[in-house]
Amino acid sequence: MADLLSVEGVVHAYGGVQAVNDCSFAIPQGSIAALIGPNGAGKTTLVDLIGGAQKVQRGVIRYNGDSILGWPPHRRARAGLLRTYQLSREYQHLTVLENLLVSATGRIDESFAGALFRRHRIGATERELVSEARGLLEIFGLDALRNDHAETLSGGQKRLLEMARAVMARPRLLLLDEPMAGVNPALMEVIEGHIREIHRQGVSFLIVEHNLSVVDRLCDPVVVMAEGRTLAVGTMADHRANAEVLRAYLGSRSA
Amino acid sequence: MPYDLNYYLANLVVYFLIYCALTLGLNVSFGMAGVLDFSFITFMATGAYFAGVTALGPATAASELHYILGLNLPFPVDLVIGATAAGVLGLLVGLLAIRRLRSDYLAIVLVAVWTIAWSLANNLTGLFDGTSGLIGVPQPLEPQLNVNPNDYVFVFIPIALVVIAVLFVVSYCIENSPFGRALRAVREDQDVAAAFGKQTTRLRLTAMVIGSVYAGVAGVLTIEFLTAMNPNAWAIVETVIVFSALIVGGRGNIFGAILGALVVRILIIEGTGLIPPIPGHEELVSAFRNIFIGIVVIAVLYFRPEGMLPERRRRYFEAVRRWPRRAAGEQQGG
Amino acid sequence: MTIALHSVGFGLVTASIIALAAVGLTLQFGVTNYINFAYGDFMTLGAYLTWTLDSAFNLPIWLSLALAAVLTSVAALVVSQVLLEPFARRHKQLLFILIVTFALSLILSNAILAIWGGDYHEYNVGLETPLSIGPLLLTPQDLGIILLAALSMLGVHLLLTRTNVGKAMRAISDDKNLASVTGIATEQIVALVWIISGLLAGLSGGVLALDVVSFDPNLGVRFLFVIFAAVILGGIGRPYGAMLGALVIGLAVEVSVVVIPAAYKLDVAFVILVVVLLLRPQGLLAVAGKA
Repeated sequence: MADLLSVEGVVHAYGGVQAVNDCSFAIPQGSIAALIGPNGAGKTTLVDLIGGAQKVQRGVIRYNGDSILGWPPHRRARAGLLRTYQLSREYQHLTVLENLLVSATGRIDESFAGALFRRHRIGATERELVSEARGLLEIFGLDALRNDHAETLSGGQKRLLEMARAVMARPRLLLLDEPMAGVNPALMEVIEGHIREIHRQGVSFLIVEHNLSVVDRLCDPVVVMAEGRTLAVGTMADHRANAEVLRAYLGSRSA
Repeated sequence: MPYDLNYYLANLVVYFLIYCALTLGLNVSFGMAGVLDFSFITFMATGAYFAGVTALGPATAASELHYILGLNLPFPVDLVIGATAAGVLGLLVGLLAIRRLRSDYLAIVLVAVWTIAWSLANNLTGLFDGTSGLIGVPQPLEPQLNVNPNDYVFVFIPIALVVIAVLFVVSYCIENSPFGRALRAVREDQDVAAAFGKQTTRLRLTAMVIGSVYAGVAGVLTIEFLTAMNPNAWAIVETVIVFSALIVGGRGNIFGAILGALVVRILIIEGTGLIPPIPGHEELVSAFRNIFIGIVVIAVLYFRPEGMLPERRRRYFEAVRRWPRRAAGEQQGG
Repeated sequence: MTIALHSVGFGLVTASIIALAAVGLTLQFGVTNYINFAYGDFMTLGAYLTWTLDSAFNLPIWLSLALAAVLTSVAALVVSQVLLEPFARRHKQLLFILIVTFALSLILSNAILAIWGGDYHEYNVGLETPLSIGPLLLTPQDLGIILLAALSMLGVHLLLTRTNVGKAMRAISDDKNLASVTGIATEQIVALVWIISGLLAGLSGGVLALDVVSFDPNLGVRFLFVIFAAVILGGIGRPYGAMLGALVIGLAVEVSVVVIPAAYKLDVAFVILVVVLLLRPQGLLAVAGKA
């Protein structure tokens, strides 16, 4: 079976900085993979490149065997390749429920003509979506807040909303950009649990993360990036024994 | 005396209805989709001009006017043509301007569009009679009913009401639909919306075209009622004032758009219009009025940006269903 | 042929006027990160203040221009400190501040209308005979405008390269967050850039009025998109780009008179703007991440 995601010799520079410099690795279908590395290794840029927010300058990114170079972000989303953001970027003046409804990519008629002439059929679909969304919100513990503007949520709740929204979009590969950053241990456990459950439903993950104990518990394979390129791919156990990896992390503690 | 008051109020109703078309239109492009359409009033002019040259007969030497077309077609054909022309221009301008660029660039291009359109309208006198503009445009149903000119307003009110009612219904449909929700998501965060599968450029372009059609309709109604249109009626300030009306009333809310039309167009503008002009300084009252409107909109944006009637939080009523569904009929625990 | 050469001469004058304005606008954008849609009205203010000093106080025209520019810079500073910067600090969305500057344009143009009236004004300067400078035909006024612009560009260049404050401006223009973290006093730099922006706006408005002879409160507004075209052509936030853009647009606008009626010459700037936006929206000398 082809790897779900394959990064091959990707290069991207901006503002005189070589952010990603010949980076290559592959993520097999059905895995919870991690992308780790010291600060400035190019991880966030790589997530931008995979998600389509930035353009690859050299090299190829393949999703499900197809090259996705030149695919605009919305096309990637419709193919099931989705990302979350380090700083929660919820739709502030939409309600929590609407944040999910609007993420049901391609499952409801969002055209102007539909708004005028197909209201009945759209209404039926919308009721389905609302049920599904509320079910999701319940799992993430946000159902009581469903009619509140997303901007009124606490930081932790926004994290959960970010994840719920991504799940609503029915991803095949979900890129999580530092989901545990600044999160208290209780919430961390909750999020870990959600990741496992979502994974059980058939979603693959690529998680950028600094918290290495989480990565250790949750992820395989783990890709180590440093200075824009892949340093090593393996399990955390492999990496702890790898002198090069330890050197790259010199000066920063592993959690 | 009472008769004059009736007549005056009836005119106010017409101005109010026409302005609702403007604010409702801007509410789609700016209020819901977040497009900074600084060229907005240009589409009003387009609708007015094209309706005018459709309703007028061919330009003759005797009329001393110069304009294109002159099709001598009745209402509502001229309404359709005017609105379509405005929509087409909105599409062209949108194709040029609506790209994945910052709001500044978009606004700059749109200001430039207005500037050029205004300059062309003034200079190319063969188009729409230049600075003097079109006059003598036949009013809808006027030749058939042949009423006293003062009483015509009572004929026009139901016409305007029907037109605005249609626009209102369309706006309602947009506001309560997945399309409207998608517009708002794009407004909130274009990049995230794209990352979640929305074709943001297409959505914003659609919103802009819808807004331009509304503005075109407003222009058609204006020229049909006032029988005239010239560039003075669509200076850049007019766009600022429509923005002000929408922001004060409440953007993202169709009732806010209507309230804004009432407060700004009727209360403020008509209200200050009752102040007698100062001899020798006729422009002073209107200058102070515009300054006042500018200050009001800045104050609203600073202290209460959602306006008088904020965008409503929509509630959806549906029972919770267990997630996820793997296949129909398969039961899921807890 | 001579007409074309004369057009080049006019092109240099127009380019000078545009350059003064465009550099002021682009410098301010580079530091504050939003476009001031009332910029054209600051230009108009400069013109009317010049007129008052020239006609009512009978000062020599070049002195009037200079003083008016200083007064305009004060107005710009006041407006930025009282209105624009507090607003930008409180409401981060770009949409809002753009509407605010748009509304500010409404306020300023009507304030000018209220103070000076809507009739056309003219400076108290006589007609001048053109001199032949090589192949070009320019009046002493034209030369004065070109010289003024050249000196101002030199001043801006020296500011940006030789002074700490100018270097700080360039740093902020590249990354506002980084600049405040490394200890550059951002708020003072912002205030200074508004002073410079106002100064250049007032100056360019004053000479624009000199060039068109007869002006009304819409002077700046009608010219604004030409300034925008130069700014975007050069790359938004790039002062040297703005100078280059001004030169290109100024020459293009005037030389076009050889082939199209003079009434449409400013529309050439619009065409250039459209072409740039379609082909290279980041401009000729662009900064990554700005567009």
